Amino acid sequence: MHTHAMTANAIVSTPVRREERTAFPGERAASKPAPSLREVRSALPGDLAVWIFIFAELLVFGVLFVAYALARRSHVELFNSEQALLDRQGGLINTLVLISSSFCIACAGAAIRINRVRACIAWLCGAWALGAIFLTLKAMEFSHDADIGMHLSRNLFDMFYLSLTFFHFMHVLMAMVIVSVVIRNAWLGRYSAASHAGVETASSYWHMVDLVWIILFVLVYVLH
Amino acid sequence: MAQPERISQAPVSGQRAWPVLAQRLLLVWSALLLLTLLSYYGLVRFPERTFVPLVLVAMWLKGQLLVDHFMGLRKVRRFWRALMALYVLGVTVAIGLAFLLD
Repeated sequence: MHTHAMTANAIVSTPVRREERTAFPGERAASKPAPSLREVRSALPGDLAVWIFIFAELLVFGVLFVAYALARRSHVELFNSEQALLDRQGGLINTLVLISSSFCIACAGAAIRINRVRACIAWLCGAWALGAIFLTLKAMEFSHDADIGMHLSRNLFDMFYLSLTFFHFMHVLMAMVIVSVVIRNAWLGRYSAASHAGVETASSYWHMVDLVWIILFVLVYVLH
Repeated sequence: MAQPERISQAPVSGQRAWPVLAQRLLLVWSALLLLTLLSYYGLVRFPERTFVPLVLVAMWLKGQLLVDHFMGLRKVRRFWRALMALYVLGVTVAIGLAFLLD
């Protein structure tokens, strides 16, 4: 009884910054102190481990992009005729969707940095929904590609196109799984203005996936 | 005569910062959408080799905008930003050379 009274007293008397107060259920203020300006300016957003992963992924995609561009030099006619079969407007819509999802993720990061947990969750859900739209449209495009007889061993263009876009498709799926976990953690009140590395990690990965698509769209759908 | 207690009406830093942050992100998003639409319709409607460098410049610009403003590398140590900028530029130049050199 005495212990309960002491705990309650400690909670009441603990000074809480105004920014950390929120009516969101389950939210609790982080005990970590906010990083200094120097720390914020020098560190990469999110975990360093995910950045090593991001650079490795970008390297793999970069090699594939250059390989596609070099392969096209020897088979210009084939690449141009096969590219004409692609759903270019579908590719454009997917690009606009993925850029918009990146905008949502960036807004989620901006929201959590000023302790707007509910806004952060809403933006994360928006990004997740746009990711789902991207995957649905891309799956429909794959189905259309299969209908017109595209498969990995048909020719060099199909091999590059299907490998690159399916590899990217799996990355979007992975990004959505990561964002799902971050939404759950945010809902449980595990992020605040002072501690939100999880949001930044998911955000960095999502933007990497978007960056890859921006290059992929121009390379595979637009340039001819 | 006792003065009534004043209640501070000053907004917390977050309330002040949000419109600025949102406006910047909204501008970058609009620029990314515009560049995508311009490069798509530019090259689809005018399939000339002269448009390839313009599309590649638009792609590089989109990549750099994403890295700087959405990824937030504008505010980190120069080394990391340079590494990412080098990647975007390197891939753009490599694709450009492969498409334009005979």
